[in-house]
Amino acid sequence: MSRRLYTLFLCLAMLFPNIAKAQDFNIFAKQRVVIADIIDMNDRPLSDAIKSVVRTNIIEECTNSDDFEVYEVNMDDIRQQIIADGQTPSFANICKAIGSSADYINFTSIKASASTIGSRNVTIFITCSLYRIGTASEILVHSEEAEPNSEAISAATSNLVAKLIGTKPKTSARKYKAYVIDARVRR
Amino acid sequence: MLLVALFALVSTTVSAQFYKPKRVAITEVVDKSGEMAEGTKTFIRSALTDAITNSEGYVGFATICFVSLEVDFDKTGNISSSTLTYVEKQEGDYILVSEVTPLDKRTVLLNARIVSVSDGKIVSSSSVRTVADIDCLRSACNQLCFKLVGAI
Repeated sequence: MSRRLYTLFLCLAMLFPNIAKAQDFNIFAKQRVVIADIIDMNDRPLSDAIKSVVRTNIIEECTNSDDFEVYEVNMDDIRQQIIADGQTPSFANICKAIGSSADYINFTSIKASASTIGSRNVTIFITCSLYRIGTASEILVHSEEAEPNSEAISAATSNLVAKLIGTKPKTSARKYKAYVIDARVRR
Repeated sequence: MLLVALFALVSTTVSAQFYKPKRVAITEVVDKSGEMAEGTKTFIRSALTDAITNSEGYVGFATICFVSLEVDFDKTGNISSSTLTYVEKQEGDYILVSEVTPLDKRTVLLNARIVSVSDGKIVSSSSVRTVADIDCLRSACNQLCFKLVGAI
């Protein structure tokens, strides 16, 4: 009798994650995220190498995490399609165009404390904003500082993704709302 | 006897399905800085193709010209849904997008990601820091493919 119960319990344990995934339960399903191109907030743009290190590192960290899965979306292509349809490429329209293919969109901006990167004591501020595509609303913002070298920037982006994972909303819309308020208060 | 024959037939069919190599389209190497030599980028693409083909269960092919399919592909590395559909029609299962970023005069960061053509999901992504000479680049490409294929 106990063996039968054990077998039944084992079968249920094996089946439950698959059922949960099929039903899109957030406790098991990964959050689908699109990583947008890096936004350079400087008057004199930073080198493409820095932006490339930031973006590739964010993609790598999210892909290898247990919480996010990254989807390839060509933002320029989407913008052009929206314009071709006679609409303005606003954020709400971009979210509508991405539709159900992803849950979140990540925008990363970088800003240097001084415009001349070769000068000493330059700090680069990297800010990650996570938006929910379904409601086109910002839910999380996190920032990190780094020295202008690839090792420091890689470490800072890894910390940023860890922060996003650590504080990402898990279940209901009520929680998302709470995060929106929280993010605005922090600003 | 009949059961044994049936089992052999079923197992052969099942194993044939499992061992069908996955086809990976290797893109042109993205260089956002525009500082890398064309020869180096061509070398990286062919080294990645070799490394994927030498991985068990995978075949790399570099016959598709992604630069002609996507606007500024060599500067952005972005892939649109129409390109995914095109590669799927060419019987590709995945696309390997590689990017090279010069960090200083000698060192480069080699990054690659594998994108599933069926849904556009990035199934694995990895990067390797290496010295930009031929021997080191080949070794870095092998290392990168090992990490990428191992993560699928």
